[in-house]
Amino acid sequence: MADMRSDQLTVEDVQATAAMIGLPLTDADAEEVAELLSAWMPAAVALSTRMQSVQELMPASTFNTVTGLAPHELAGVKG
Amino acid sequence: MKARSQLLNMELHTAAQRVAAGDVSPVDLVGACLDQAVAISDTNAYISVFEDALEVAEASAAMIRAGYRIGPLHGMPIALKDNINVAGKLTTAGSAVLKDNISMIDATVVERLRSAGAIIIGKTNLHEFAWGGTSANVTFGFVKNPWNKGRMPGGSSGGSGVAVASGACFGALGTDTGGSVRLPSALNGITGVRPTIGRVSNAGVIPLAWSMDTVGPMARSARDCALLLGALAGHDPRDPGSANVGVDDYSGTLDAGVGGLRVGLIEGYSLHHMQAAVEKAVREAVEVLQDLGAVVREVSIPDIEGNISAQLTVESVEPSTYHQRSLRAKRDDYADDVRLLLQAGELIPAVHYVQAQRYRALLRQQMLAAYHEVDVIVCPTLPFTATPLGETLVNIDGEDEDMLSAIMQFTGLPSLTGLPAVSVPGGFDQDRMPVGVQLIGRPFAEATLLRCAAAIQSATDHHLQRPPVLAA
Repeated sequence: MADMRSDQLTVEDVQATAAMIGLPLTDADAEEVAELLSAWMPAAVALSTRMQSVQELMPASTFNTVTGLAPHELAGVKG
Repeated sequence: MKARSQLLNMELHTAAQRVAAGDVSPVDLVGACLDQAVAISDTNAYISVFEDALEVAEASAAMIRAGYRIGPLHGMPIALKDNINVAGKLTTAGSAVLKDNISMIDATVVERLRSAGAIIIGKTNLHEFAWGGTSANVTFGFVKNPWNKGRMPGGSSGGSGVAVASGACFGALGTDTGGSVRLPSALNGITGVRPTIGRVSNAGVIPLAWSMDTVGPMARSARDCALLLGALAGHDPRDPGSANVGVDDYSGTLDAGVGGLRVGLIEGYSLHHMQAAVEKAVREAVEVLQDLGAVVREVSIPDIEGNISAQLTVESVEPSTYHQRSLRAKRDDYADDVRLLLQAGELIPAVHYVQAQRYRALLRQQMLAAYHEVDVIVCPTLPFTATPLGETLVNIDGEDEDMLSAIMQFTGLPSLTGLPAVSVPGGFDQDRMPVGVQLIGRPFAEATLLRCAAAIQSATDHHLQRPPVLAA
């Protein structure tokens, strides 16, 4: 991508990145992808930036216990 | 016609009791559902209907006559979203990409339904590969809402929602990644459950986004969903994401009431940014719970903002990974909207994806902390009611918004955190289109949610309303 500080992707940005990952795109595809990602990117960049300041947080998406709470958190929790 | 309508108006649990008692034959139930599937064919709810289900029904009836009942769903006609494998049958995922895809073995959920006595009667239409919220399917036809066929039914399990609401089955399975069970449940006026991640097996189900996918039951009431979930839930060694956690008696605890239950509203979220009819439905559901003895309080989720973006990121990147090869080999077989989403998903930076996953962990921490103060959180299922077919924008608070983002506003919270949720009918808007209210619980607390939903349904009649095709 030409300018990582920008939230707005150009068709050229999209085509260059697609070529890098071996994704064939027609000109019309590239135009639509650029438009869609330009709409999504501001919020994604904002979230990514916000998460940079959150340390010691591992991504996890499953639960290992009935409540999903650590043992010390279980006290007082209703079933 | 009237006799068929009377049969099809029964809820699943009632039909199951009557079959067990020998009052109703599975042959009549399956026959009525297959006839109804034909009668509502203009809604495009089904992709395929299994005529051989009648033979299974004959065998099922013979067993009852011989005094043998397979399980709690004996003789019940059930439909499956067409991304769930049934041995020897087509599984298209609603796409021309898989138009000739015959499944070799049953998905685990199909095995479990059969083990409980259910009869699979067909496969329902969906948003292609479950990647969308409207079920606007270009290959098998746009699914149409039975309450108004000019409106969309929600998605991606739109066909399952329509089939249940229309009486073309007694219950159905959907899959829910970002809301795909709950959204069509809300928009078709039925009840749907997104179980805790890992609660129900995904083995034999075509994935959308692995870290958020789950199968869930859709039916006319909490009692029916409890019956279905009881058959589906439990550890499955075929699914590496399956949770090895004991299964509650969902049906047995339904009538325990909500006295003392702590019901939470999330500050600045649960009643924020939605159409007026939706806000009215949520407030009324909370009042009903309060009248039944629940205690209502506000909770804070400081980092709630960002959930829609995180969901868009995760729900884009993971499907693009799954479809990477196929997208290159069969580009033109994909619907335009899904192809665009899959192409875009490949271009999202990896750090955004991982930060979105870390955000999920943060959101989960905050939700689990909130469950120290409350037992159930209430909010809308989605902030609007069914829009016209083919629409891509929705008007909320006087502004037109992108529907895909708006549709994720409330369903994304359980999807991202892995928490269970139930969508219950909450009434109707000014055009008599159904509104859904969402209940979100602790991990594996489906029994609490279903108990809460059953309490609401004991005090309201929204779930008893039927669309014109069934009310006739």
